[in-house]
Amino acid sequence: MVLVQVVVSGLLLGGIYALLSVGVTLVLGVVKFVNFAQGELLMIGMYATLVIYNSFKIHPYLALPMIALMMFFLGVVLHFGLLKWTVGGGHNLQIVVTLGLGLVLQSGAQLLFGGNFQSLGEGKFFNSVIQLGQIYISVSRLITLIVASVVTIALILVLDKTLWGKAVRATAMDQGAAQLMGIKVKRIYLVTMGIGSALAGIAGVMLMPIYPVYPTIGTQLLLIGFIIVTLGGLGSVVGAFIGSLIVGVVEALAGYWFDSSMSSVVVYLFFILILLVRPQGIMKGDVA
Amino acid sequence: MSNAKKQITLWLSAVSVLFLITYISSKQDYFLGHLIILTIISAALASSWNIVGGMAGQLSLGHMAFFGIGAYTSTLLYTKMEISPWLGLILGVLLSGLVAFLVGIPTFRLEGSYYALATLALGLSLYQLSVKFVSITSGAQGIAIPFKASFANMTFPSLWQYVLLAGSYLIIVLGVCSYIAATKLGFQLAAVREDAQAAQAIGVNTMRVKLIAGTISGALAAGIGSIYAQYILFIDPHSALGVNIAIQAVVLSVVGGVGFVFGPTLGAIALIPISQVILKHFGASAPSLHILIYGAVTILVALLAPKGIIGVLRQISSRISNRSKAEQND
Repeated sequence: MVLVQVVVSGLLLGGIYALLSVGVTLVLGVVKFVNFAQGELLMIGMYATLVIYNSFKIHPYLALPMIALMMFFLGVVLHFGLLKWTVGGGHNLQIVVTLGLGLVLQSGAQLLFGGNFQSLGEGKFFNSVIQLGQIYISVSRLITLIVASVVTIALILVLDKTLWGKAVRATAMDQGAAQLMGIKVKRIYLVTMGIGSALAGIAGVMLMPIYPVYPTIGTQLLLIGFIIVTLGGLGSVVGAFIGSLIVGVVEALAGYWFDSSMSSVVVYLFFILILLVRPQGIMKGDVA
Repeated sequence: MSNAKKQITLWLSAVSVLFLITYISSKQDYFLGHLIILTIISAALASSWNIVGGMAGQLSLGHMAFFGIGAYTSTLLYTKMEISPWLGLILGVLLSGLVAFLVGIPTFRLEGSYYALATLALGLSLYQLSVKFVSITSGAQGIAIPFKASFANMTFPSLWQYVLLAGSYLIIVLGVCSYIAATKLGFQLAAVREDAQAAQAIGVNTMRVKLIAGTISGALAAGIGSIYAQYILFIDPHSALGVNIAIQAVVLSVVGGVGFVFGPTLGAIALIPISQVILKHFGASAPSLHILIYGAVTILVALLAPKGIIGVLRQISSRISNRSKAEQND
């Protein structure tokens, strides 16, 4: 029974990872862009949630649409003002530039908010738990998983059913051919980067009631995000979602069997295992 | 001048610069000497990183792992078993080279950024392990190395001795870099960096040359970790295995000129003194201001001057020589 509880906790943890890694895989699949500042975008989403809650007492979940929109525009602005110059420049250039961007955002957050852990405080709602038989489910984590599922399904439907989604998928498959078909590839890139940033922002909103924020929170989450994307198959949204749940469960089981501080080490070993056994991931990566 | 003569002149001048810096640091106040040593240590680490990150074009984000293996190996052997740090340094170099080799095996056969991710995972894992295994590493509390000044203990009373120590190591690292750059391996690495498939097509064993570069790079990074530990006489997970160590190596190499033998050293000379002065003056009010500058400079250099300071210097010198040629023609 304890094991079931651990697996459930892992699946719930996967919800947070899903929001982050779906954004990473979309940007990687469509724009062929490795964004090492994605973790910092999540961090900005968390601080935005904190500031809005502290100054206006707006509940994080109510602030979600606003923050998602804000992060969308931040992603668009970052792409238009900086990152578009690195598209087509190779992954090394992208990693170096987004690493630099991440440093700027991290130290900016440090200057604005200080280096301490900050949380929303002991709100009653944030700690409530549902009991199902002997299984305990944290409400805020359950909501996170639901939001992650809804967002992922919505994204898959948009990519699959709409004309715009087809254009995105065409761009992901062959940028040059898509351009010849009259698809405005640059605009697709811009919007995709915006969506990737918005997803990181939503992940930040959902994480804030569960976990305290600090300026360098992004580094470790970013690595887990990329491990999930590798496991799921580069560019596969479905793969990223399933991969998130798998990594969440692996992390929870590792925490249960060994020690909670060892769980990330086990996930990294799991990553090496993926690279050795199935580096192409579980799903075929052609977006959606 | 012939190539060999040029090389000899270059290294003789490097050694004399080292002696000059050592002499200066023996006459100056503590802060300047400290600045010089930190610059040399950062330059040596970034130059080691440059072998795999620059020459081979395989970005590593986990060089704190190798730095930390060196620091912890020599420190643990010295504090627990009284084994001389000189021997500890050598053992750390060997161990780190082995670890770097093992990380390369699953990642170098794949295209893409897996090496960057796997090295980052290695570094973060070792950080977690060093915090966790308190009985061995003393955890987050860190290990203080007793001050027993003697050559055998690699512990010295004056700063200039450390300048000489770290500087000699930097010259060794630079020597290895320029040897690689001048030999067949250097050209093979450049081919892999520019186009791995084309390199393979003309018969370069890409996996093998990447593994060699990764192993040498990881091994050399460990030595400077031991020297750092013996200089500060204290290590903890953050100072020996923090992710900032790896990021700094990337930043210095990019700013100085990634892939060039002297690029990371130039990057360290340009950035470390500035960042330390900023840290000294604004450390209390704005503790991460120097990181902000690192980030901004990295973005600007990567986009506007991808060959870094070396590239800019070369451009200027070629422009001057072109102008003087044009004047001669007039």
